[in-house]
Amino acid sequence: MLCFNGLTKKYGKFYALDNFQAELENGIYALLGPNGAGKSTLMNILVGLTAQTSGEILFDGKNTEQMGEEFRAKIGYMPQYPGFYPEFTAMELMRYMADMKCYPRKQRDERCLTLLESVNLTEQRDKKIKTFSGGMRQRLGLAQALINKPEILVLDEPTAGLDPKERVRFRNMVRKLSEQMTVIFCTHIVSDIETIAKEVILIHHGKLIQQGSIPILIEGIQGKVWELIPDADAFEKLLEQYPRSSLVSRNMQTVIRIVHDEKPHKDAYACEPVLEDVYLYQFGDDSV
Amino acid sequence: MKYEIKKLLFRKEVWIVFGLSIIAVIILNLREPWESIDTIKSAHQKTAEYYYLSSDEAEKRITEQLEQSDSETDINILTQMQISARNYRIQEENMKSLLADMYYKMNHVSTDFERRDLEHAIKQYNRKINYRLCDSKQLHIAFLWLNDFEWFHYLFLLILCTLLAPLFAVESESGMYQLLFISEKGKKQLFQNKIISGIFCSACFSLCYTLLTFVILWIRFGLSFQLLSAPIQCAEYYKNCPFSMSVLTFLLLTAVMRTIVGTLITAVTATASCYFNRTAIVFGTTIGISCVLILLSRAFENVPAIKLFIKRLGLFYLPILGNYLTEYETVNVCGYPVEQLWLSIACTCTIILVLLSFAYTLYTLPVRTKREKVKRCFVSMD
Repeated sequence: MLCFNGLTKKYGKFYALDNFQAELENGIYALLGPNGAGKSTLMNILVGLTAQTSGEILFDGKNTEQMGEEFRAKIGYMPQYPGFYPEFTAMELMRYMADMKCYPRKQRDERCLTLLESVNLTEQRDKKIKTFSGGMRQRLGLAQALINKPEILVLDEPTAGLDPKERVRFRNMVRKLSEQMTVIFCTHIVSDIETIAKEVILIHHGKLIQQGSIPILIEGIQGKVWELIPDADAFEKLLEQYPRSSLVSRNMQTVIRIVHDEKPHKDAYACEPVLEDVYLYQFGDDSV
Repeated sequence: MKYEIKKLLFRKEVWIVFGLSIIAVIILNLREPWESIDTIKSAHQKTAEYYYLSSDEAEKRITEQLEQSDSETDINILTQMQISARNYRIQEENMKSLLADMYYKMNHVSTDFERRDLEHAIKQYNRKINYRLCDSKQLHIAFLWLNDFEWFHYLFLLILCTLLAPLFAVESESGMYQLLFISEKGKKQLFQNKIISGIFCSACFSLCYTLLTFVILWIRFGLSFQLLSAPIQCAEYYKNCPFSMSVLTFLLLTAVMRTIVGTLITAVTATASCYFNRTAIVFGTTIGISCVLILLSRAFENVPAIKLFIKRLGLFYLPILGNYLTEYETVNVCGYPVEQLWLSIACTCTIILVLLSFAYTLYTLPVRTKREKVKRCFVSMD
């Protein structure tokens, strides 16, 4: 189990994380929040790239800072824009990362080949990374994160740059992995969260807003999501009046979907909320 | 470690600088007309006839021949021989008077340190050198020629700074630090690997550079490889060298000294990389520090105390081993005379250790901002 206790990160007077508190077990957890919410800061502190101002992270009851090397052996991290040495080949990079992660030498090559195969990079293993596309770099980033069979897998925007087929492949892989580990990933692609996340952690201004499974989060805004087919000249006015709204195309018509505590218009009708509505409800004022 | 070496070597900047250096060395070699070198070689071969005469007699005989010669080639050769014999005579006279000075002082010294210092010096100077080869003068010319071109040594510094600049910065530039810092081996092991690979690359490059320089000299001056086992004192330039060493030892020691300078540059690079994330800025910093030290030593050339201080620090004086071999200088360390060379090496090594310790402390702290880094460094030192 992973526990965040009163985690705070301060830059001068600005709180990137403000007394963040959460508990995570095995499974897939999605971090959801607008830009600047503190998601990357939380991830950086968890993996050890940054030190917190106060608070602690406990793994199975032990302080991760004190665990040091022992904790780092359990982490797998894929950053948002994975940077690699351009002159290295994919296989060289995997071998290098395996050495840095103290993976046994005898099984190293086999492990690297298996992971490259799982991310569909077998044919490119001897090509230099500088020739890779963005999607290929993402896949390589995921492969290197899994080398040491981590117990905590941290993924920052893992599906950015992947085509739909690769995204499905990624989801299937992560779903299978989550049976033995805790997976924390942050993404803006709501469909990725809907299909695989066990729980969603909503974070804003460095604080935990809400944590729960998707059905529970959706249940929380039941009766607060409305749809409306307005007149052509009323669109702009409604969008301005209700910032937590979006335009949806349905049956060749444009429908406004509004998230609001009360019925926004006499012609509006209630509809079933989805995860995106939860996002708009919590962050719509800031993120639109 | 092999990955660290690959990161250093597989960069186009290194090969561009290296290629330009090779071109510069070739152009330098072509600049001096081969005919004058051939003239010098012939002159020295002819002086073999006069080796067993005293310098006075040799000079007298050469002057007589010069007066009788008609051809321009012979006149050129004999002029060179005359100059060479005259220099030999002056050096022999100087050596005799230097020894006489030392014997006089021995009878008038007041402290034990001075007595030990002089006994040591007299012992070195009185070493009998019976090594006679007809091309030992060519060796002298070769060394003279080499020492005239200080830019050989500056070129060495430039290439080394280019080679080592990305040692730490490459992780920040490529973004790999996000993956490496959190790996099981972590920052400490990464730092150690980098320092070791920096020293290893410096050592290999120093050895190759030194060998290349002397291979060029050997080809240029037609020297025989038997000279490698000759004492360094065979070259007139180093006739007063107080150290007992062969030419081969001299070459190896030059490579070692250059490796020490390479280690110093590694340490400076490591320290600079704690503040700057770009290879270009780190390179600029190391080159800038080198230039400042070289300019300081030039600016204070006429201020012996400051020049001596800079020389004793070692630093970038070390690649030019000749600095320490032409004059006998010692320093009083706990009552014992220690040669300048060893003191300079010790000073440089101390500076290296201090810089590496500082860099290690900064590098292994888990902080992001530079201000926090410096603050944490002093807190942890407390």
